[in-house]
Amino acid sequence: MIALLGGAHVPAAAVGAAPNALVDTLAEPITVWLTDGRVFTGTPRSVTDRSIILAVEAGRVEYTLGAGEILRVELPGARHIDLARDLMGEGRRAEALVILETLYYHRLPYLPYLREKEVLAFAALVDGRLQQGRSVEAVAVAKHLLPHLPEQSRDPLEAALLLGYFRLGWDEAARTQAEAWIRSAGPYRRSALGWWIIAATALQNQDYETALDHALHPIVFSSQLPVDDLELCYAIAVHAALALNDSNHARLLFGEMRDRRLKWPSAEFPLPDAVHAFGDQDNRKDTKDHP
Amino acid sequence: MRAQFRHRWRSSFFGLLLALFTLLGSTSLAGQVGQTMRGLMQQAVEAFQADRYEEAARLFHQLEATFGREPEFRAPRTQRMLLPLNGYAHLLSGDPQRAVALFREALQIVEMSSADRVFVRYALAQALEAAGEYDAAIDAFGRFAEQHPAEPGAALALLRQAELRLETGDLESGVSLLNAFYAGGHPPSLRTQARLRAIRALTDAKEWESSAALLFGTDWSLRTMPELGVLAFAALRIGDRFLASERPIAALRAYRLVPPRNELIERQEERLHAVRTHYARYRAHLTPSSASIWENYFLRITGRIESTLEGLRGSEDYTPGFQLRRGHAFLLAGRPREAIQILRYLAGDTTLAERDRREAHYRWIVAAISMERWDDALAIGRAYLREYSDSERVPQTLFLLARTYREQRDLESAAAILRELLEEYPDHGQAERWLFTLGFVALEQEAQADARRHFARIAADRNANGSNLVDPARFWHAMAWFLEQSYDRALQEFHALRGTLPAQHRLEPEIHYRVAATRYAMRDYDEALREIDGFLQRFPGHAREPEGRVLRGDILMGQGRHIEAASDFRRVPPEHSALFVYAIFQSGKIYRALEEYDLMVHHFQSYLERDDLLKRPRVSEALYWIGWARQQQGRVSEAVPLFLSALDRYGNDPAATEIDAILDALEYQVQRNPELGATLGGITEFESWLETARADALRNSQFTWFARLSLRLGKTQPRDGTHDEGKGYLREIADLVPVDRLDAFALGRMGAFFYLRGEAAEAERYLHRLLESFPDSPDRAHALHYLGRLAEDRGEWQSARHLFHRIISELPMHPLGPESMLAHGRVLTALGAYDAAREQFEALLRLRQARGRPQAEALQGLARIAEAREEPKRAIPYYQRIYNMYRAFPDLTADAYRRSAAMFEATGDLQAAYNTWRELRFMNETDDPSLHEEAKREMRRLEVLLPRDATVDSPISSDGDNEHG
Repeated sequence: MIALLGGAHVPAAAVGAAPNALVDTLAEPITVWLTDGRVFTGTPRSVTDRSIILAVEAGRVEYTLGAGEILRVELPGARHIDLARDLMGEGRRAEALVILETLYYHRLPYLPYLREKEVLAFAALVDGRLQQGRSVEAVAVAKHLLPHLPEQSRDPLEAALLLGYFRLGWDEAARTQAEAWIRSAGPYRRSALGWWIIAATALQNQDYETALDHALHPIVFSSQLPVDDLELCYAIAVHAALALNDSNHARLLFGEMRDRRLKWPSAEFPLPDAVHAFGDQDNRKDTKDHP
Repeated sequence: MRAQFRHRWRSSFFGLLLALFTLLGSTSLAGQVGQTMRGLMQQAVEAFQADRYEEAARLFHQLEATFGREPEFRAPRTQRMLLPLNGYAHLLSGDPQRAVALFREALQIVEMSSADRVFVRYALAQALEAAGEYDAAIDAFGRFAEQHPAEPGAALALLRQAELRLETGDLESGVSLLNAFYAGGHPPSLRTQARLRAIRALTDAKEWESSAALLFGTDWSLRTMPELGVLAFAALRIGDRFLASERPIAALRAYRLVPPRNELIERQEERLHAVRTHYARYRAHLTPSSASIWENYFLRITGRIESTLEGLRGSEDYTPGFQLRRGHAFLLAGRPREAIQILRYLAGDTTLAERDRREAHYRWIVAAISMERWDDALAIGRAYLREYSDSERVPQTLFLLARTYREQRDLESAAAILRELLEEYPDHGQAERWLFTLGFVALEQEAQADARRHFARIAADRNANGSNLVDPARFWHAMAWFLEQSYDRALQEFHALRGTLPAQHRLEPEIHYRVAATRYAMRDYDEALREIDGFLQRFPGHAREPEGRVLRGDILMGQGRHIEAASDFRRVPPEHSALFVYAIFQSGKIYRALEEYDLMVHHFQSYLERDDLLKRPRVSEALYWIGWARQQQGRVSEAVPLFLSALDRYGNDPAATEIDAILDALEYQVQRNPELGATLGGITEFESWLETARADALRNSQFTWFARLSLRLGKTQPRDGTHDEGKGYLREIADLVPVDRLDAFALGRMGAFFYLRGEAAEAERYLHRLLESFPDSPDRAHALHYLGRLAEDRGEWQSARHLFHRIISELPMHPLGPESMLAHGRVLTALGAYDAAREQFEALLRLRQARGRPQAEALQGLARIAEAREEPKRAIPYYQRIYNMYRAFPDLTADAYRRSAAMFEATGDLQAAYNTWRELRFMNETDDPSLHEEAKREMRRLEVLLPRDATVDSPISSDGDNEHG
């Protein structure tokens, strides 16, 4: 079931879960600034990417405002976005997501008219859904938001989209997205996302050379400064090296992982049996080499 | 100095200033004298507040000079406020000595509050430092920390004390203090700073081991520590030092702490912002005395970070050069995969300077070679040559390509490049090494004469270069004789070389060994034994000792001293697995020769039961010999189960060898011992047993075993490709058995079968599989030969040449050898390499096992070469030999007649041409009427051209009958 809320169709479940204050707020009028300086405040009757039909003067008069003449739109509920951010910061993710979800559906038809930071505010919704395991919904939201962001601001959502594809097992889409992600910046990134996704898919398909090649890339190009998901790359590299019968390399990588204080990601990859045989061998201890 | 103090003291002095103004307001000095003192004080204070420190100091000085004796001025309540101010004014105006005196005087005042005393003590230490009285300053900082341990500034005082030790050249003491500070319970940021100072000091002093120990032994809080740049640069220096010392693992550990420049700038800016934000929150909780001290620290640290950032932004990006060194370090550390990641990226990054891309590209080739990715290495190398044709590394790159071709066994391409290098760069520093390598390649091509020529050139350069390749070149010159089986020459040169080498030369043991091997090859066992004993006694533990043991065993076998030989073979250690296995089977031969069958069985059983071997090859062969031994002992009832057990265990293993030999042995026993039928499930006919076993194998999906039995039953040697004997076994194998289940023998037969049927794609599938899966099997000859034939059919001459050359050089005694030599000759002819082709055909003519058709075809090849060279008179004798000696091959004979007739005609000898056609006309060995008709036509044509007195037959009737026919 869908509810009409402030001119937007919002799933009833979202409406039902949202705080009453928010629901009431979203029913308030919106304000539209036009490029010629005129400003209209009223109740939206229809919102499309071509126009907004606004009812003013208690609904007696309706204005059709074309997309080309609209400068910006101010929607009710902005402070609830801040509230949601604060709740996220406090670790109250579930509550924050309820608010964000309601706001998202409310603002969905207005996306072409929102400013960049207003669109980006919903990146948190995408991340939240991914963390909840709602990958399909996360992918859907990300795909809706991305066209409304400039190139330089798309990184967080494209990363989320990539992760969503991977979790859904959409290998081809994940690979394409990962390759685009990799191409979008140089090798020195704060995340190893695209690399480990291609590597993990290759590992699943027993293409161990490709898996090792891709997993090694962030390992090689990272310094001691933190890189997200680097431990996943190490885990995949160790698995791939063992599958290629190169236990020496696997041992080196495992030792290096320990030296870098990275924890083995047991939730994603089991610790190979062969690793137990590595024991406490210290990779650093090359008798000729160690200071 | 001034700036770092200024802000610090504003807050501290607020209290003093306030107190002083209060005092000024309450002073009892009246009249002109009191107002002047107040006025002066006010002026001094105002100047101080306005940062006009020289003026303030002058005014304070004037104040003292004018009112210094006045009780009001001298009163402790005045002095305790005035002296610190005065001291600071002097300090900030560049007169630290005066400041020291004033601070010391201030500390004498009993009435001074403890809060004021705190910062005066700290200020005194700073003034002493500014005055260059470092020892006193060090003591003052130390006393401060002792007297005010609870003060937040105590940690800073200790830190400054340690830093001053360093700055005064006392490295050991400074580092010791910093290490103690690090181990203490001080705030993490200060401890990190202490550690960084110590590392930097040790690095500046080139105490690399100590600095590295601290670098690696510190748990760097990289998410929060402020001075990332300092750490990065220290790590970079240490890493570079380790790399230069060829310690790549340690270098990589250090390099791990170095981020790329842009990331370092970004993160350093974030930290700077974080430090400022943190301090702004923190200072609100500080007392005035502590605030002044901490402000100094904050200014220092932010100053250093800003300076680092400024340096980073203004300097060239160190990242490409750094990453190149990391790539090199990974290579040296035996991690070529990681090296390739870096080098491949750098080589393709068009934002980098060309010199960096070029260097990365070159090292990328080296990395690919180290991973034995030969195809990749060639592709990368060729791309380098295209991209950087003017680079000074072109010669080295070409040499790398030559090495790669050599690894791929494409020796001709390797040799071609080496020759090109020597021609283009004859004076290059590496020219001698290239020549040496060319010599090696010639040896591998079995062109020993060429090899000697190259090595001789190097040996002749001794006087010119004094190079270290001269003696190895002489050694290999001698080895070339050995490989050519010119043992006398080899010995002569080995002895001559040994005589000129200095004592304990590294080649000496090798020469000893080789002389022994040469003597053995000459069957001069006595001398061989003497030499090998000399080698084993003089060079115990040498790398060749296991080979020496094996050689000694072989020598003793040659002398018939089998028991001693077996003893030597037993001394070959198992870690030399190839030699060990050889020794095992040589010992088996000894027991066989001595008919010690129990020993033989025990010997091979021990081999099979060993658990200390990484690899245990030839297991089925060992089982075969065990069964054979029992068979020889007449213990057939034991032998046959052994054979069956071996077949059961290894019949379905594609890697197992000697299965055919076991089947031979089993068949032999079954034929002679019909009672064995019970052992074979009641089957008495071996062929029936084979059929039953084959059906069972198929039912149980034992495809390898099924194929082997099928081939055994078919015993096919496909000749014409249209059928195989028996029941279409090869086609059945093709339909039922996956390629990866076939052994080397089967793959070779299947490949040949499909080639001869004209099914090239299918043939290639089996033949490539054979080469990939069984690169060392003698059956790879089939793959080399038929892939060569396929290449020849497609006109891919170079590929064909390479493949035929391989089988000739690697498997010269294989039954396909003669055919391969013929094909090789044809391909060389097609390539216009006539001399090489002629050599090949002539070699075939000398080969005993090539008698018959192969030699006839060799003669044909030689004739074709002569024709191609437009030397008909040379061609004719070859054709004549064919049709005189090889009439059993009518097609070749007819062709020889035809071609020689044409050659005669080309030389103008029409009579001979006529006679030749006539012989063909009446050739009995063929019943092909078209040949005779052709001959008749040619004879008729020539009759017209011949002179009147020429010898011709009677005019030939239409049916061709002639009394001479």
